[in-house]
Amino acid sequence: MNKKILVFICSIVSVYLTWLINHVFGFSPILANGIVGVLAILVLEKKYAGIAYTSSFVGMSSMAVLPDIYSVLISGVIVATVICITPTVYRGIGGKGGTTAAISSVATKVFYSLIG
Amino acid sequence: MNYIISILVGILSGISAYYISHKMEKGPVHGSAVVTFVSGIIFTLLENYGISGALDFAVVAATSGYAGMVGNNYVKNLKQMVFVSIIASTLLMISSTMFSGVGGRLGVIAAVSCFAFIGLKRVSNYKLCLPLKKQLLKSEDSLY
Repeated sequence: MNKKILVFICSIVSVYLTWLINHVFGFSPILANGIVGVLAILVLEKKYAGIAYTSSFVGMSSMAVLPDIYSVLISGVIVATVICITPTVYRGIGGKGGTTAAISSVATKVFYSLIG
Repeated sequence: MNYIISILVGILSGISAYYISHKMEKGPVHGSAVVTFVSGIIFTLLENYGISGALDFAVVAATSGYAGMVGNNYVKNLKQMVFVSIIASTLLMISSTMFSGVGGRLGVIAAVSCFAFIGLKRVSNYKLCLPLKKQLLKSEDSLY
């Protein structure tokens, strides 16, 4: 399968799982992120685990940023796009994934408020 | 008191993430995810047992855990990681109300603390090297 399609699938599933654990099951966002991170390192290979973990940060957003499943899907696509276009930026800096996620969260909020 | 406990929790989680990542050679995702998962479980249990504000320490632990994903070309050892963790914990407490609810906020704080540490290290290296540079310049002058 095309690697970029795998990146998009990893991102969307990871954002959705984190959002689900965080808002539907009612765990804290930190625990949701931890669960998805541990699942990712157990199930996926190293590269895709990193992508899933980065995307998981977006799922930690509050209901004000990600109010429903559609916004979760949009944020998954946006974070995957940002990951695909910035593979070498800030490489090796702790928090690179979080910065990528923050950019995606803000972009999602702006995009979602524009369309609806 | 809360500040001191937060700093201690931050240091512990930062060096744990760094240790798992680089000393045990498991990789940064493994290090950070394990620290976040464990701190999430411990502090959620503490909150459920009636210790109010315990979840705030989970946030500190996660932030330092994200900072612990830094490469060992930037942060060379555990001592340096302690400084990064202190910066990250302090920054988190200063900016507790900023961008609240935006996913990735803690990662941004971790990235800023790593940049701050790298910047401080460069400045201190430059200052320490100044006398040496002056001597070098003098010796070059004496050659001509």
